[in-house]
Amino acid sequence: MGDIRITFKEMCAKFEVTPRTLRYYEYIELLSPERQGRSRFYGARECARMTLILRGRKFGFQLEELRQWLLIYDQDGTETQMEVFLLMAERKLKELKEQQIQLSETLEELEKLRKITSNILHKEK
Amino acid sequence: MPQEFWNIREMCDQFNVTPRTLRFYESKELLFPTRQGYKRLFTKRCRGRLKLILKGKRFGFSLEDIRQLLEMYDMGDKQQTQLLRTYELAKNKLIDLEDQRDKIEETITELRQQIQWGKELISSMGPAEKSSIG
Repeated sequence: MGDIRITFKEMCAKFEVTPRTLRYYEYIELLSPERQGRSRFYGARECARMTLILRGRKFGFQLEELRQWLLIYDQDGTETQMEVFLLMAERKLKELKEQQIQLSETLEELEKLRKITSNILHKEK
Repeated sequence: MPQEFWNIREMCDQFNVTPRTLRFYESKELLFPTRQGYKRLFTKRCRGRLKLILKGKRFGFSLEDIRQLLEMYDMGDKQQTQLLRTYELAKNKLIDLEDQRDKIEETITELRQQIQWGKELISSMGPAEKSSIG
């Protein structure tokens, strides 16, 4: 595990992200690859962080939120990090459920609109 | 005499939008208020258009779609084209949103699994045990 050392290009391929994304994550201090001149190298720590970042993104967490969450690991260890993740996840779950309710309402209205327009169009023909 | 013009303040109050929103719609050619010096004056026609814009937004139509719908009002075909386009937009948007709903449903399921996994992990950790989860 410890002696992983992959290049910028390999990192992009491994995680299926664009160079732009990878540079951006570095810019906002989510990743800190080893720099050698203009080359960047990524170790096990960066890979682990990348896995967690992408998983977090999939769940809709903000990058800043993830950055702060990753800091907890360095400061307080795994267990605290996991507890904080649970809090974040519960909150996100609530958000998603609310989003789902709103979406259902919009769907209902759209369905009405579709029916109304369809009826008028058929009547006039 | 019925009111002929409304200023931006009155419009904002009555439609519950910000001045910025109204200026934005104007820049996107959705609204055409008349100008009196620096002031904008909104006509009855503007109000009708704004009502439709807000309705369209609620359905999740893009501003460009809404702009095109509004243009179709004056085609002189008793709004046949407009109706047909509205019907098509509604139909497509329904498919979009249903897709979105399914994706959120999926995310909810995965998130629940993660939460379950996290809880199990924490309860299995002794106080002395602290290993990397990366």
